[in-house]
Amino acid sequence: MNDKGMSEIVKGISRIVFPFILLYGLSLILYGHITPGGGFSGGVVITGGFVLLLLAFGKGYVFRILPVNIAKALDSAGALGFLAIALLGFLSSSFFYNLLPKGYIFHLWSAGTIILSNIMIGLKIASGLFVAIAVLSMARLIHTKEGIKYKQSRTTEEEDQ
Amino acid sequence: MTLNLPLLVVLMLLMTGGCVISITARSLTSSVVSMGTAGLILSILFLLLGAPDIAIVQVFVEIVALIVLLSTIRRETRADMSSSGLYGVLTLIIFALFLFVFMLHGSEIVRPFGQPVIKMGAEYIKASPVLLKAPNTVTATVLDFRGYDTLGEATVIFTAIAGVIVLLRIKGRKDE
Amino acid sequence: MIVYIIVALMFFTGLYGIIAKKNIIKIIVGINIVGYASNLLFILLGYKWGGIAPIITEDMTAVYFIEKAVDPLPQALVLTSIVIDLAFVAFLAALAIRLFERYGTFDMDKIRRLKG
Repeated sequence: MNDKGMSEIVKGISRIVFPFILLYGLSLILYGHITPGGGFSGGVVITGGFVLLLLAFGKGYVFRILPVNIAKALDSAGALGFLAIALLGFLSSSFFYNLLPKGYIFHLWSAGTIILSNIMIGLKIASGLFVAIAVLSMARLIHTKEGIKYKQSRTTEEEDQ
Repeated sequence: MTLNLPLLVVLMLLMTGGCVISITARSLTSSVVSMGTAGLILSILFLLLGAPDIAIVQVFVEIVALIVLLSTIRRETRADMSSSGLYGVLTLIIFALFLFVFMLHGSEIVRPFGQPVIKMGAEYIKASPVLLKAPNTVTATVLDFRGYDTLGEATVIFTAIAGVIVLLRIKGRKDE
Repeated sequence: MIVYIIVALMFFTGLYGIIAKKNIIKIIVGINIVGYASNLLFILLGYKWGGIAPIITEDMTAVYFIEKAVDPLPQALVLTSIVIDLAFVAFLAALAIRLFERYGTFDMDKIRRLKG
């Protein structure tokens, strides 16, 4: 995970493949209650797409698309949103009560609150795992006179200062 | 593709071989890569055992875990020459005997492979398409029938990621 | 019964890595392998011969689906467990990086010797 990224061939291929990975993840999240998939699968797939960008283009490019602070906020928003959907059940009877209209089977807008929960869980998993991997990739050990020292670099610009 | 017992046993033996290599290998890189092999065979097994949701998750989780571990061992170039001492082997034997007694007890109550008694799951299978109008029973179970589990899981992941951020921070250290 | 014995073998392989190995990366790999074995055991316990995935499609009658579908409950439990495993591996990798910074090695014996 160096800052320059990989060769031009890898960059070109990942530039083509990345939108399709993102699309596959979104489709897994949105159609999670009809076909195999769901919030967990979609979130992990979207994280995989961002890890591909991190490996191919380096840290600076990815943190310009999705800054770590915004990803942290999205992580908390996903968790709180899932809790809010659970608390919504109190309007009718109890915690986690599915009170939205169920609709028709095999339609996209069916199954009540499941689709909203899927979106929130997907947001939480994708941004949370991205934050973990971004923090791990920012950690670097440098050799100094006293031995090995730990250094955390936010972006490439801060590293030069 | 239908599943039969020889295919299942061969795939599981291959996976066990990957696990053994990844524990005994000298080089850390080959150890981590054979762990990845075992995980990918595991995802094929999940697909054959009727769990496509988990197969998708397993493939991507395996790749991301492999990248995390490879970027961690990049710092250490020396091979793992540590031998397992007598103490470790003795502890393992005692532990294994203890677990083996438990497994003998468990083998009396477990059903033969392929003929389970589905009690709670049968209710979910019946209720999910009718009550919830959700064709995917697994998603319905995770997010509706057993929502508390998922809430606890979200909390665990939040805590683990907060732990990663706190462990790798640079500000606020006063002991330098 | 043989499948359960192979799963137990896999579990003990991971346990050997956790208990007897001295390298931190080997210990993380052992924890991962124990996780694989327990996840696989859950799915094996819910499988029935000739079973299909518990997802109903439009050309399927309800009676056929209820008769053929495998148990969805272990799958739901394993789904959360796998993602937790990934977050746990990231946490352990952060710990290993911190230890390497302090002692310059992944070997537990050397770390123990350098402590005093």
